[in-house]
This record gives sequence, structure tokens and C-alpha cells, in this order.
Amino acid sequence: MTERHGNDYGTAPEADQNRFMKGVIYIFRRSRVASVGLFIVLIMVLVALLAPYLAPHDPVAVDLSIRRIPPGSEGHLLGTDHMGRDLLSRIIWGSRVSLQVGIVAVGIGIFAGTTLGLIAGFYRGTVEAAIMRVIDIMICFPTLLLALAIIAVLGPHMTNTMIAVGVTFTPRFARIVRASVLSIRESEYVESARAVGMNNLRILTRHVFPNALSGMIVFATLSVGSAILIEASLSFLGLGVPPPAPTWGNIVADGRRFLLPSPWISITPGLVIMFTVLGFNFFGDGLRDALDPRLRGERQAQ
Amino acid sequence: MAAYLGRRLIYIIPTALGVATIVFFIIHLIPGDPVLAMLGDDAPTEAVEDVRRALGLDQPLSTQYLQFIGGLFRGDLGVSITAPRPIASEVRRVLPYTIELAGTAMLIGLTLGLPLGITQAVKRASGLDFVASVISVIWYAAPIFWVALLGMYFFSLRLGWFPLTGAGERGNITSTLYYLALPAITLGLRRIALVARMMRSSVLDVLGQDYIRTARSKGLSERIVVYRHAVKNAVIPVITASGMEFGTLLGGAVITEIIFVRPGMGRLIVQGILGRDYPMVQGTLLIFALIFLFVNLLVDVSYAGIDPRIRYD
Repeated sequence: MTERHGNDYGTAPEADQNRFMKGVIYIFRRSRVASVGLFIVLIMVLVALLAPYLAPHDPVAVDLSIRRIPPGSEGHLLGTDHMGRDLLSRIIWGSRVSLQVGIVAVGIGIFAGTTLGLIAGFYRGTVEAAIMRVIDIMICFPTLLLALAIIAVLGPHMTNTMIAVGVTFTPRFARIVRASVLSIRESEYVESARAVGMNNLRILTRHVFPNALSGMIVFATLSVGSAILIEASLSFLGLGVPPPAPTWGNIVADGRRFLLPSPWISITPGLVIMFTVLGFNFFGDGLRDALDPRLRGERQAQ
Repeated sequence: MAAYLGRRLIYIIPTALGVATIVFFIIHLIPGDPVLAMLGDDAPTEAVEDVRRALGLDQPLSTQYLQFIGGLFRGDLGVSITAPRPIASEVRRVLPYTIELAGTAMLIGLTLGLPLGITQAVKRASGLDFVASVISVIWYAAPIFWVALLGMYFFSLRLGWFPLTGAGERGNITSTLYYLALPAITLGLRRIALVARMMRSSVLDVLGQDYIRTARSKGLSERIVVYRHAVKNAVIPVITASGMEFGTLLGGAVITEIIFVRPGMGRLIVQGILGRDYPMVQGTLLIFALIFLFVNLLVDVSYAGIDPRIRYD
């Protein structure tokens, strides 16, 4: 926001935002679920950022003399895989792929979905009908399968995974944004902004968008969890980021052939995926409580 | 009712056409040359041209589109590059396996998830409610391929209760069920978590309504209030949501089929992608979306049995 904010036409959103932030902080103080979620997410983000310093070994260094050694032995805390690569290091480096794809894909979904939803909700008429029709149809595609088909055409690559997953999220974001816009556009401060002669674009970016945001944040957080699961599934099928780069999904896939003699290869990265997704889901659930005014009142009353 | 059904079936046609159009454009408009991707960048020009002609890719896009849509009306999904038979007959061959798997998983999810959610709501904040909530939240974060491998490790490899892979002998119901059990439970467990969570909050919502208070003040027993009044109303949004969630179930079925080496639509689409068989990817993606449409049509129609207020005029 710019420095002109204070003396601008509508002060309602600002006051709302202040109350909103207070509510969020309040809930984080009270809601253990949201705090635990945030804690897990922060740990995973730190692990991803510090991967070069945290990983004890080169994640792609092959050493056939130490193939499939079990967890807890000679400098390999989580053991090694069928090519003698250190599992802990692979999982640490794999966090980069999962988090990047998860976050960027949701970012793509938010950007495209918000644009479509804002346009549809604000302009109405034929534009809205056309956009919503396409979105209704897009929602008929099972998420993973749509992502698979897009990867099939674009080819397996990290950027393409982000695009594919992002596209599959777009319709859902567009629906949420449109729904918020429909209720916001009738509100008094948008009316007053229009009365003082603000143009459409300005009303959209200054008033409608910031207010549609709160409804979207919860969904975005929960979507990062789903995006991580989809990325892992694509990698597991061999259609994500190509090897030898480690991803959580392809480590599980590597271990598949050695499930009986060396189950840890597949089991450990799966646990890490679950832990991370759980973090985002907890965080999202906690945020939902914080942003739902009904619940907020309830808790403050207690 | 029959008129309503007929009208719904007619309404579904434009959506199905829209779905087919989007499938076509995903495969044809995304930059990149499918034929080059298939044969490799340094393939001889004549070979590229041959394949292009064989697939009809030398025709203008509009002609290809009309041929594709026209074919659909005749039940023709085009010709596969890798499979020996037309795509439609491949789909017909494997579709029962996928329906069997997804249907059983759905059934497991509903028959166990609905009662669990109701019990949780009625015994809100009890030990059972807490444990079930925690398990379903954690379970919901677990990737399906990992759950499948865990099941395989413990129940097939260690305990030997279930066969490792395959789909059993066709036509032999015992064998089919024996092979279906573990994959269906794998998929179904996730549904139980999802359905129980939705049902719990839906029942709690309904229990707070005025007509429930009225029913209670009339002196009706708690059992009748919950099962006659609350559950009937609470189940509708849950059924709708499980219809919308059917897509996730289909995605899970794809992964499950790959892991348990079962024939099915999932195997078909993944083989299509790995073999760069674009007509196959196009055809199977379309069928998946149509299954989703059809299931949601069934959901709409099934309301008749649940909610007498919904009328079909």
C-alpha cells in the first residue's frame, strides 16, 4: 500500500484490516493447531533454504559399496538407497522441489484464478457467463489427471510441474474470488468509491481485491498441501522433476522395488510428505478459524 | 422423475461437449510438436510426415476438431499409437476394473464414514471424537501411493493376507474380490476420513437448527431426533461434496492401479503419457471427465430418495 492510504476515499478496508490482523494474532496465541502448523511449515521452509548446509552428503553421489544400509548406521542417519545415496541428504534436498512446486503452483493458481474471478465478479454479463462456463467445465477434470495430461504435452520438468498443478487450481480460486467479489461489490465502501468517481480498475485493485483476499488465504494455504501431494504423485509416477534430482515422490518410487528387504527407503520420505502436508493443513485450518468472524466472536466471548 | 432425468441428461450434453473441446485444445494447442516429441528431434522428415498424416495432424485444426467431435458421437475415440486396438475398445476392456475399484472405495468410505461422522457429532468432544478427528486429519495428509505401499508391505509381503499385484481371474467373484480388497481398502480409508469429517460438521450444523429444538421440545427421544431429523438433512451436503470429491478418488485410483499392477483407466493414461501416445491421453482424459460428470448427475438424481423437498418440475 502507498503512503496515500490514510487520506484515501475508503477508510473501511483499512480499519477492517487492522481488526483482521489483531484477530489473526489473537488466534495464533490461542489456537494451538494454527501455531503447530506454522511451526512445521517454518521448519520445512528452513530445511529447504539451508539444504546445502544441512545435508551431510551429496544427494546424488552414488556409492555402490554402501547400498541399502539401514537407518542409524555409520554416518547415514536414515540409511541409504539402492545406489548407496544418503537418504537424509536426498530428503533434505527433496524438500526444495516439494516446497517450490507447492508454493509456486498455488501462486500461479491464485494469479490466474484471481484475475478471472475478479473480472467475472466485477463486470458480470456475458464476460462473466463465458468465464464461469469454462471454469465449470475445467472443474470436471480430476486434478491429478488434468496435471498428468498437461505434463504429457509439456514434458516432465520442474517448471512444467508448477504450471500443470497451477492450472488445475485456477478454477477453484476463480470461483472463490468471484463469490467474494459478488458480495463485496454491493458493499457501501465500493458504492462510495464509485460515487467519488473512482474508475473500475482502481476500485478492483484498491477495494475489491484486498477484501476478497481473506477468503482466499485459507484456501491457498490448504492448497499448498494438496499441491505438494500432487507433485509427489507426479514424481512417484516418473512424470515430475526428472532424476537423478531427488524429490520425495521419486525417492518413494526408488524404494518400491526393495520394499521387503529395505522398507525404509519408501517409508521415510512418505512420513516427511505427510508431516509437511499436515503442517500446511493445520496452518490453513487455524487461519480459517481466525478469519471466520463467527468463530472469532465465539472465542473472544469465552 | 423420468422427465427430470431426461432433462438432466440433455443438459449434460453441452457440458460434455465443452469437456471434449478443452481436452482437444490441451492436447493440440499447447506449444510443442507431439510428433517430434514422439519420434525425437532428429527424426527423418519423411518419418515425421508419415506419422503426422497417419494421425491426421496434417489437416487444419478445425478439421481435426470436427473429426474428433464427430467420432465421439459414433463412440470412436480415435486410434492409439501404441496399443493394437482402437482406443474405444481399450477403454471398454479396462473400464470395469476402474469402476469396480473406485466404486468399492466409495462404498467403503460412505458405509464406514457416515456412521463414524454421526457418532462423532453426537458424542462431540468425547475421547472417540478426539481420536477419530486426529486420525482422519493425519490420514488425510498421507500420500495415497505411500499408503498403498505400506498396505502392500504389511498385509501382502509380511502377513501374506492379500496377493501382491494383479486383478484376479475375470468372472470368478472370489478371485476378483481377493485381488480387489487391498487396493479398494487403500483408496477407501482416505474416503472414510473425508466423509467422517464432513458428516461430523454437517450433523453438528443441523443439530443447532431451530427445527431440532422443536423436535426435542416435543419430547421426541434423542435417537429419533438424531436419526430421523438430523441425519437425513445432514447427509445431503455430504453426498454433494463426495460427488465433487470423486475426481480426487479417480486420481487416487490411477495411482492405486499403477502400484497394484491392475488393469484400468489409470494404467491406460499413464502408459499413454510414457509412450507419448497423445490420442490415448486425449481419449482417456475425456473418459475420466465424463465419469466425473456422470457421477455428479447420479448424485443430483439421488436427492429424490433423500430429500422430498427437492422436486423435479
